[in-house]
Amino acid sequence: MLALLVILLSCTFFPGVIVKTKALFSGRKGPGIFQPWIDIVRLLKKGSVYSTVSSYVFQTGASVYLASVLVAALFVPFDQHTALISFPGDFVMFAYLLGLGRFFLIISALDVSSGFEGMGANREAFYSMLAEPAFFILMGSLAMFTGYTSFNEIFINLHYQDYFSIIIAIIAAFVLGNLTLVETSRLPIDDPLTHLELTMVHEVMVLDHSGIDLGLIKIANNIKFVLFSTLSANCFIPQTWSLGMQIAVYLIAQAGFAVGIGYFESFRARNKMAMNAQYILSISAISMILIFVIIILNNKI
Amino acid sequence: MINFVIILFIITLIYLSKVEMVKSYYPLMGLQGLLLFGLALLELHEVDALQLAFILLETLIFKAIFVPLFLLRITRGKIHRHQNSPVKGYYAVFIALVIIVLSFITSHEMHDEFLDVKYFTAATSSILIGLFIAINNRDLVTHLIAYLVIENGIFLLSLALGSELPMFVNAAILLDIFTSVLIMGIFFNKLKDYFQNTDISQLSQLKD
Amino acid sequence: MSLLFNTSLLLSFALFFVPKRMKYLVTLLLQVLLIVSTGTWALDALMGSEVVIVPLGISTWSGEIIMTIDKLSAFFILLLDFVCFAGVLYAGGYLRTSIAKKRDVIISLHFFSLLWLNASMVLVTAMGDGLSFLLAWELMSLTSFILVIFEGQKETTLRTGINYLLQMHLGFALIMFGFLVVKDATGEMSFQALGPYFATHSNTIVFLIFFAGFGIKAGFIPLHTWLPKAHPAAPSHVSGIMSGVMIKMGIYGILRVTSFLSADQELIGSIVLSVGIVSGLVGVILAIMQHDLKRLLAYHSVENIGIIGIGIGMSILGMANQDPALAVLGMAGALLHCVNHALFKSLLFFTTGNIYHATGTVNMDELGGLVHHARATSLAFLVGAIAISGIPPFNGFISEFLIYNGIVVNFTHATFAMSLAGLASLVSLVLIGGLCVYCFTKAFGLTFLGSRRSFHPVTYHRIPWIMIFPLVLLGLAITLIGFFPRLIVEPLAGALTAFGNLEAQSPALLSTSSALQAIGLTNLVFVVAMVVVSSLRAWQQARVVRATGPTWGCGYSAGDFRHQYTPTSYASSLLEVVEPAVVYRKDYPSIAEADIFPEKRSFRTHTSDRVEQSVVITIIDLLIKYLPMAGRAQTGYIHHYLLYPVVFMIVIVLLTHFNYI
Repeated sequence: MLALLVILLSCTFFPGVIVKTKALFSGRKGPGIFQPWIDIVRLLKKGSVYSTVSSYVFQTGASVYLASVLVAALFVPFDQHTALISFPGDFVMFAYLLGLGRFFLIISALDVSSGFEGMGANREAFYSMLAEPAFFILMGSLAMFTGYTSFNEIFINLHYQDYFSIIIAIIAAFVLGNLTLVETSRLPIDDPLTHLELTMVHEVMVLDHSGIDLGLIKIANNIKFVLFSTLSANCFIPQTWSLGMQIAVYLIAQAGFAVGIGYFESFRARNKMAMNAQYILSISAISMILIFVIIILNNKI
Repeated sequence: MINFVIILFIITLIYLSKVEMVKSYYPLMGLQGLLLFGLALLELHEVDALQLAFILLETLIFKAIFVPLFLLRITRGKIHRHQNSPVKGYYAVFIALVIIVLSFITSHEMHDEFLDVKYFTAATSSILIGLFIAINNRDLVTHLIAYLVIENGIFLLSLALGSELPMFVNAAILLDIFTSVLIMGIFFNKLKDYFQNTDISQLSQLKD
Repeated sequence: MSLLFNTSLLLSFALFFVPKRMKYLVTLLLQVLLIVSTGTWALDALMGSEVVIVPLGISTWSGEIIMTIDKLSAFFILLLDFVCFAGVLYAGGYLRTSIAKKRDVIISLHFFSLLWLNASMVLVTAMGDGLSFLLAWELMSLTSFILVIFEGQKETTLRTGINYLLQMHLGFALIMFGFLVVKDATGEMSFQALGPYFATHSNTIVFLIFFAGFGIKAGFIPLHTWLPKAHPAAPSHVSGIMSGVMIKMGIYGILRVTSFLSADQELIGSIVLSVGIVSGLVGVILAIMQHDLKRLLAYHSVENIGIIGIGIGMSILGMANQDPALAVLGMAGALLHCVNHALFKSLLFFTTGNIYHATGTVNMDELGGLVHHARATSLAFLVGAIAISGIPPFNGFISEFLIYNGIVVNFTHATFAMSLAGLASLVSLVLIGGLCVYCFTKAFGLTFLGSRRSFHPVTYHRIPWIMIFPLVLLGLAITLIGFFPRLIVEPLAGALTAFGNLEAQSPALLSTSSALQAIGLTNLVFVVAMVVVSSLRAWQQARVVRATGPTWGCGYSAGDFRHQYTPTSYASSLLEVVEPAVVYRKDYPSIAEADIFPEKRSFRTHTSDRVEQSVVITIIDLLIKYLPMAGRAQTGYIHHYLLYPVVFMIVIVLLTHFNYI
């Protein structure tokens, strides 16, 4: 329960911090920290326009996306504080629940009979297919290292067995951080602020969503962002600290991550579309190295 | 700590294999030099002054600072991208990964008590990836970088074997590369003026 | 019960004599009799503790034919009865127009074969004796051949059917050879004889012979080439049954042989695993490249067989390494995936039948926007698509979860080699899952969503309820397994007892069963979340203005259906990455410089299977090149022909004389 609360809490400022950082780096004053959420609330109040060719798939797509991300949020623990749902192998279900949301988002993009949205759907399906092995190899290697197979137990046992766990935590956080960028369509995979449809990935897929549907998708994206950043934060926060301290450190870490993304996005150009595949593959490659490190450790060579 | 440095070294190898802009090689090469310096310091417990000086010269000064800066200087504004390499980026990463996996399996299967698996994996994959980069690119500068990667691998191999003799081998290779960097630096501009690019397949047309 | 079974089979001959419009009802009735009798045996075997033995009262020269139904057989019998029932039910709607048009005897033969296919598959799973097993196996191949060539007036269908028949006989020959090797060593020709044989002889070669023989039926790469040809040619209900359960008979055979293995399991496991990985990945990649919906589904059968192969392979490796958790979970995952694949694949094939019925085509290049004309069918296809992609809340996820869980649990204490095997299968399972999403968003999106890819106004036929009802039945089963996965644990544990060295009640399966409960619960939570979100959305929608308008064309106002993605363009981004598996060809006359007024030209892309091209076609080309040499023996003189048997007899006599035979 605590895990869910802190996740929702950091959701409130996470997108705002990114926007603010980017504004500051480009020399603007920028909107307030909570502006993204104010925008979402405004979207939720608006009416919507539906394409004449769209069907029930389009009507339910955004809701399924949000629902699946919400349920996936129940799987993520906060440090040693258990998540609401936890069982051996739960990370498989976590990943596949996100897959369910993605499936519906893709088919609702195909529902409006537009070449542009088809393009976005195609790219999303392709990149997420490439990115999934990285997550599974990472969790598999953590399972190999800790000897447990659920998020909770993995993160409880990851900490401070010896200095190896720090190395592994650093690489895990690196992989998770990169995965966050892929899963939530940020730079360098996709530029959320681009204006040309041909160069978009996620944005072009939700081009026809308006009003509440767009709002739901944006909410789900924000939560998804925080889910991954919470996973990487979990690699670091010590369990021996008091609860207040942990939450404080967690929130600072989240804000720091958001600032980092803002900084990164201010100075980095988007990848060429053709480069994306190898960018994502190299994430998998790095998590593959992690698993070999752990194999060496386990065999005590 | 040593493990961490080796892991970082292997990660740089993956990034090296997928480089597209030639200028992105230089920071990676610099990082590799630094990592090797760190490794050498951590690994050699008792060093005399001569050895220390050599290692400092080789890793820190030569590999981490001199070569990247020198190459950056002579190529600045001249070449940007590879000319069409036969293996595209996606497969390049994949091949690098396969090389790492294979060298890991081989070194694991060797069961040699004088051999350190960590170093040996990093060393073989570095040598093989260096060769792969050289095979895959036709650019003169990239070839030089590939030889540097191979040299890094040989340096690691000497650490893997843990004996002192390879230091001489190292010195020899170092001298080779040092010379080649210098010579290339001198001739680079002339070649560039002559051929308009630095594709090595045109070197065969050179006549005196 | 055996009376009921025999009666229904005997009565099936009456199908040839009843009036045309009654044939379907009679078939359904006989099928119910068949299912009741075989289902009762299967349930007895599964619930009880003993093997059910049924003498059929028929004898061959090797003795009386006796059905021995243990829990593994019972598991498969229940599965195939259910799917065959749904298939026959569906046939009533699908064949309605054909029944009116076709000749009496063709219809009779079709229904007759449908019944006998069901019966022969039951027999295949229940025969322990080698000879009767082979008879049942042959019966299965023949009846399915007749079913495939239902549209035999088309030449391509007939050719495909003959191709299928030939490949099946290749498999038959291999299986028979395997049995003969065993008989030669032990003097007995049965599955039971494999036990003593494997205990004293090398396991690998005989296993591989059986694996190849059964693998042709199952469709492992590179033995899969009949699948993508036969399925599009066969009527949809036949494809559903064949892809759903008949190819599982190959898996059954492999499992049966596996259960007797006693040595070399490391090697055998790695072979099965690597064949599984290749089949899974190549199958799904080729599926993505298809335009024809039925070919796409056929390649997905290859992929799912690959997943089953990964499960079996990991399980055998688990047995070799004394890791009961991996052995149990891998095998349970493979078995459950057999069930799941049977359910969703037949569902998908039946919906394809509906699409064909409604539009007259299953080519995705000409489809689109069907959701507005076939709502129920689209829902069924969506359920099947989600299930086959292994996504919760449906059943496909459960079996993949079991395999994943086995791999990950094994990771926690794996040896070096096992970590590598686990890593390989983990990565390939994940990739298969991702590619499946890619493929089924394409299949669903391009077929049902968007707008119809056609220049002319098209008419749609209404889909009768009898073509919807079987879909509901299968959909319910899919949902049931998805939401209450614990129900399946008990039968699975039973089926696992066939593997002597798998302690079915091992802690692994029990702990997984609590995880399965949690998964079911999570699925319910998802439904609740879904209900909450959508009711909030509905509440909001009732209060705001909802407008409809054309799709936003990004400023381009003359867009029409041609702007949509096509099967080829959707697959193109993947094509760059998977070049090694696919041969891609573009037929397009390029515009020459002199063509100032280019005339109308066509554009066509073609992808084909590189495995088939490089392995199968090469071998066939070699055969075509060298076999004519044998033709020299055909001289045309009768006394030459008489000479051959004389030479043959002399050789035989000589060989016997020197004790070579």
